[in-house]
Amino acid sequence: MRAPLYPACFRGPLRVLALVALALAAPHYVESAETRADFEAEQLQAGQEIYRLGRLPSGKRLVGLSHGDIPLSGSQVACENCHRRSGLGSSEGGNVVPPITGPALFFEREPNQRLPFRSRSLRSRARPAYDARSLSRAIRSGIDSAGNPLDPLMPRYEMSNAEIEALNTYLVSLSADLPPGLTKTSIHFATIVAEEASPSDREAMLEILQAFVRDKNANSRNESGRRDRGAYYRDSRERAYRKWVLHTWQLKGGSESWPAQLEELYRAQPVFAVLGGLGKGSWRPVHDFCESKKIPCLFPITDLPVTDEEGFYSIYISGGLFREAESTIRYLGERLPLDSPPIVQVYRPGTQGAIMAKRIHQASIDEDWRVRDVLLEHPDTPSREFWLELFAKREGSIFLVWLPAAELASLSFPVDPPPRMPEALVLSETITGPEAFVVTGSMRNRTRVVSLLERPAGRERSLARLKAWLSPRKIELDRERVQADTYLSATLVASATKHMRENFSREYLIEIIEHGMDNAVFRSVYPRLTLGPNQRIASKSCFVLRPSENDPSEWLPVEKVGKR
Amino acid sequence: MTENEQISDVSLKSSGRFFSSTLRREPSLWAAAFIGFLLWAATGSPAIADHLPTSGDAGLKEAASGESADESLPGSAIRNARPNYTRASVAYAVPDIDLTAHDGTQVGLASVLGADRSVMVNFVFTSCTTICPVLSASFAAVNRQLLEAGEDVEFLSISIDPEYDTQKKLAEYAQKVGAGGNWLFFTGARDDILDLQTAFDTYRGNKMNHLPLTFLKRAGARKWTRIEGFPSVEEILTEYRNSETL
Repeated sequence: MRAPLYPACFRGPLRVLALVALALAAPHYVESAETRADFEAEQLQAGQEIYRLGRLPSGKRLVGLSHGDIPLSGSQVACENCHRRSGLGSSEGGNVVPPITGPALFFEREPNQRLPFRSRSLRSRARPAYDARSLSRAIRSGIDSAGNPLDPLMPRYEMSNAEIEALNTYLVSLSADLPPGLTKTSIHFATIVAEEASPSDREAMLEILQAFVRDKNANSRNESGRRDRGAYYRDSRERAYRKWVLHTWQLKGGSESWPAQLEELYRAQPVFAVLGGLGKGSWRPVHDFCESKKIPCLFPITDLPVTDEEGFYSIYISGGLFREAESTIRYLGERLPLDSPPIVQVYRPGTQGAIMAKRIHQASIDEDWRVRDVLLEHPDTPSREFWLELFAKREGSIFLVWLPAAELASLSFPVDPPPRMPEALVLSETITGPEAFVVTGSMRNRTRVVSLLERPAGRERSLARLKAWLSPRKIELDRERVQADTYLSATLVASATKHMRENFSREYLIEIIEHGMDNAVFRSVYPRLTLGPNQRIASKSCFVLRPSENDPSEWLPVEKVGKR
Repeated sequence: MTENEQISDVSLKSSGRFFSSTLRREPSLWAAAFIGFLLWAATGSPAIADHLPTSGDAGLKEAASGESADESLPGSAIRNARPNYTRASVAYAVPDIDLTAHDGTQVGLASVLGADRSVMVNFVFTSCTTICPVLSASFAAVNRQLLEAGEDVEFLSISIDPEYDTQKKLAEYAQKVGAGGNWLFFTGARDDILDLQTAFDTYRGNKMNHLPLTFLKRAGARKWTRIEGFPSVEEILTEYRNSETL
């Protein structure tokens, strides 16, 4: 028999009355639901500000005491410092910071070991689940849910109940949902290629990525079997195994249309992270898209990364053209005498050269340099006469020539030196490519090349590892930087994914990369790679090179323009 | 790498959010909670403050300021309470390197650490998240107290991440932690900073693996007091006052 839909008291005449009452009450319920949703959103926002910035809802700074009497406040004492954006904790100098996400705090902690391997030391780390009261006690008094004192490094905070409740709301949300791009068996990555990227670079990058993913998925250690059966010691490692699925997101047209294209591609196939990528112009639209969707965008190959350090989700291998501009400015600042010669920049509008020129101009205001620009509007390559005339007109100037190698053919003066020589000629290797080093004749000794790359001998040593990987896969090393950068990004992300285990958090993936970069064995074509918390550019070195006096093929650092 | 284990596929319904939202939805639970509170209050449940840890327990303090100046502190019987720090008295050969201060001045380290002034030194980096904020806050508090006591001590914080920590970054950091005129942050060439870390036996292969270290030396003293760990402000002041003067 079918059960009645409403209680007996609502039958008959009372039914009308009940319906009227319900109709009257409904708006209140809706309103109360909306109010509750607003309240929870406010709580979440307030909790996030406490967690990330150390700022209380009142606008005051969060304060706490570490080790009894060391006062900390504001961002110094924000939870995110130690527990990180993911909430999954960190380690530094032997200090292990535990995870404080909802699943970590509000469930009993049992050492995740099978019986034969259980040790007494790990048993001591067991504790009951936190509740609202024990969490307050931990935050204020440093006593954990088992009644044991927390490490004195953990500050004891001054927080009201309402502030703790807001923080609690945020903690519960931290790394709580599985991020998009994951299934029980697969993890999805995308690599983004701009239409303007060179087809041979595109092919070189995709060939490396596809070979890497194919090998990774070869199941050579029966990883999927171990994951599914899991009767192994520390099987949580095996459970984390996911098959990699790589998607190529080919962008078409100008960068103004990229956001809509990316949105559509992501909607059609969500990915866990963006791996590598290739562009010629500014990477800003992709960067902004990844920030808005909170997608890690790891090591795209671009000369124009976003270097303002405001983002969290994108990490770049090098600072590209901006780093070269920075080193040029520093070099000029150190080399220019007080009575400094004028600086002349030669470039074509709308090119990378124009971007370099803009940076130099910005610096010239602070440095009080005289900078003139010579814009090449005519499509023809500058002739010998062009340079002779320019050198004569601007005699004694320092020439910053931001042109590609093909436009430098007439600059060498192999036979007759120009009657008026420039004080110096500065080129950018990012703009010229390796051909920067073919300037010959009388101009050679006055040429300086700004370069991000390791010198050839060191590069050979670094690339030996890549060559050993390419050789059995029958891949030729013919696009050195693109191939090496792609291999670097694939190996770094694979290593970080492995360390992530079952903590599938995009933020945690980034934190692992930040933490481990200094130990990376492969460094692509760069002198050194290093990161730290919230650092977003891995290669920080830049050389200003001068020709060797002894060996015509050798270029030596004038000075390693490292940041001080 | 951290080795966090986490259950990732659990439902959050049984977490703290459940309690807070349920209590808001069900007013009748408030009444039950209120009655529960009355019962709890009547039974004299211990106040949270009773559980406050006695920071720097008496036993630890004794050990930390004991006579065995060159020995590590003995362990403690108190559960989970370890000594805050260890102390050693060591003579270091300070390398003659040039450093750039956050205010732009170039200095030779040997001259800054000359024998004629009392100094405290630590090694930090501006993007460090766990150790350095505490070390810097500790320096700020110690500095404040020494200034109030009329003591003339120079504070030096040397970056172990010179490739990232530019003079500008150090200046911003110095402002954030409230460094005054007698507290300077330094950066330099990477190789020089490595030499310095090696000389002071602080280098552990990777900046992320660095140790919490504080070095202090009285004017005229030959040896440094090397403090490893996190002493409280009071403990650093005690160590300073007890440190060797020859």
